[in-house]
Amino acid sequence: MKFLQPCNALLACSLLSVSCDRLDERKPITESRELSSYARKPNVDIESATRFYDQAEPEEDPNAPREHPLVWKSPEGWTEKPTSQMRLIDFTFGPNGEGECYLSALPGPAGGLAANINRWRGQIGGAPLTDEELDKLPRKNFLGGPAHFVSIDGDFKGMGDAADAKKDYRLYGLIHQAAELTLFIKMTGPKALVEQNTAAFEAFCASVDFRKRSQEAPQQ
Amino acid sequence: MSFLSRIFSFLASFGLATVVLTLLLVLTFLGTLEQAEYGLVASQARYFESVFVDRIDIGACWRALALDVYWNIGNVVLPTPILPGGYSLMAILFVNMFCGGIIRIRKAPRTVGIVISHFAILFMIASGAVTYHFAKEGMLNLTEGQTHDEFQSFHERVIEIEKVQPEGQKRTALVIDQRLFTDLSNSSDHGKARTFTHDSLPFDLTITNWKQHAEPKRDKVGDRGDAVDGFFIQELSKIDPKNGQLLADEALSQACIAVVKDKKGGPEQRGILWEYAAAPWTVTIGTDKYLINIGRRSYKLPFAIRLDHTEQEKHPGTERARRFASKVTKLHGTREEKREVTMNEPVRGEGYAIFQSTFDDGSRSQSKVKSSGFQVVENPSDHWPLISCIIVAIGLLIHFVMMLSRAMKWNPWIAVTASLVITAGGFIVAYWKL
Repeated sequence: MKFLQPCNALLACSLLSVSCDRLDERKPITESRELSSYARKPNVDIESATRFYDQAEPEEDPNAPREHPLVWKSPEGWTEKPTSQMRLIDFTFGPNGEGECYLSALPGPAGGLAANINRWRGQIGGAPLTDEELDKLPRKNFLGGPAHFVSIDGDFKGMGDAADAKKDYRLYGLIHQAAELTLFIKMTGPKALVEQNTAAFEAFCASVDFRKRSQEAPQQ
Repeated sequence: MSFLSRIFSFLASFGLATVVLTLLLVLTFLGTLEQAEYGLVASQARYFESVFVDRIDIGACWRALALDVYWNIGNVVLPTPILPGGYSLMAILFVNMFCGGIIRIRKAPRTVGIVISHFAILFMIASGAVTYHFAKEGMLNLTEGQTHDEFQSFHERVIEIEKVQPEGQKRTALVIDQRLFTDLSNSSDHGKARTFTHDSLPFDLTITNWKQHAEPKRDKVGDRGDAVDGFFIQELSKIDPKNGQLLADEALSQACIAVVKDKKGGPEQRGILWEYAAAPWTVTIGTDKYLINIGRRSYKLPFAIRLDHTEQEKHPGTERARRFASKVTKLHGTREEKREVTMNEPVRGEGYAIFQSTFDDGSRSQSKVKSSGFQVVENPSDHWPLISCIIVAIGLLIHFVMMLSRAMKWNPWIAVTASLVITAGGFIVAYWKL
């Protein structure tokens, strides 16, 4: 059809007229505007973090030493050992370090009061307590609430065999059951040595507190 | 037949009209399909506002037709501009209709309706061109008590360079239009850059690594080669996670790298420009400071608007707004004019229409300060399409009544006059009653 010839010509001309896209080129700025007198005052020398709303604290270094969640007073004459995953506070005492006292924590009820006390009793040769006997156990004030206290004498085998049991030992145990975790303080050693350190044990138990709570408390 | 006559015959031909209308149909088809992946604004710019369609994403169209279920052709792009854009086609159609429907058409009483209708369609095409070239549309957000005389475009972005002046002095900014930097985008074309210069600037500004939707992220490890001042540009998905739809253009946040090269050979400075940044990037050259930012284009109003008071009514027992209104003051120098803007009743004047668009009682911005968002429209051809539609209707009415009266052997002029009077009367009654 005749009209298609000029159409094709028009199309061809248009194709030829399409300019090649040049980059890395220089362009003069040709436009400017006057800013309104109502425009906000300019914010000058604002650092990138503020410009991009990135005010987050730098991420904690996982290798950096962490603050202990608890605070306490170390009894005089006791030697503090480095903490471990199981022992949040760990001491030895006595002339040869044969006495030990440590604090550990487990999430939730940690098996329950009876299971833990009877486990301790089993470690030092004591018979399991009945529920009635458990109810009669003395309570000590610990972390602002009552904690069950046990004192057991016997041959201490710990987690080992009965044949290797240490003779004439004493075990003090304190169990505090909170809403989300259970805290244990366990002290073992030769009976005479433990007796000598009973006051130190009680002072230590009384001194333990959560770091956050102790910081929030008004200064006395 | 002379050469000029042949040209005129071609321009006025039905054949040309047929080709143009067919191409417009193709454009509409492809543009609508591509819109699914590129969004309304991008498709509109590529297909309907362009002289030539720079490329056709066949893959996107294929997927929009869900044909990939049967055969996935992948990302097929036709990179050659073989298809004229909507702008060119409308220009050709205008010339074609003017030559054929106004000049060449036989002037007789029975064609008067056709001529009127052709004239009205030309008027409609012209109104489209006026809207494209001269209409401005944007947003003005004001908190109670705040005054402003500028609004910001919804879609047009610019890079602005402002020299920091002592307080009280007139502030001006150099403006770089988005058409000059939005092609510096594709990550596969790493290194695409363009340098902008101006005699008043002591530096040249190079823009590179432009992203249509991105945000700066902190380079935590510190091993990124593209990091600038501890941050890099992280491109974001343009799909709204809430509904799986493509984000609207106004919801996108553009970002790019700016490199400042001192004309006197000073050290090169690099910064990230981001549309939502809390502050512009500051560049220091000698004792002078310059602010560079990317953002929406600002337009000046011929008056200032102060938001005096906002009102909101909610549907009983719900948090849904039933009505929100803003009491504003139009300021012309010292002259003040109190007006009220509501959802369906804009304030019009001096070529601008100001609509109530959004409302915040302070809870959304958590600022406890009430604010209103106004949509501002300046369109010289605001009512032209309506007028042209009315004229088209009148032309067709005249034509159909003429044809009917010929068939019925009525007096055509009496029939046309009667039908126009009846139609006009109907409009008047409808307007009066409604």
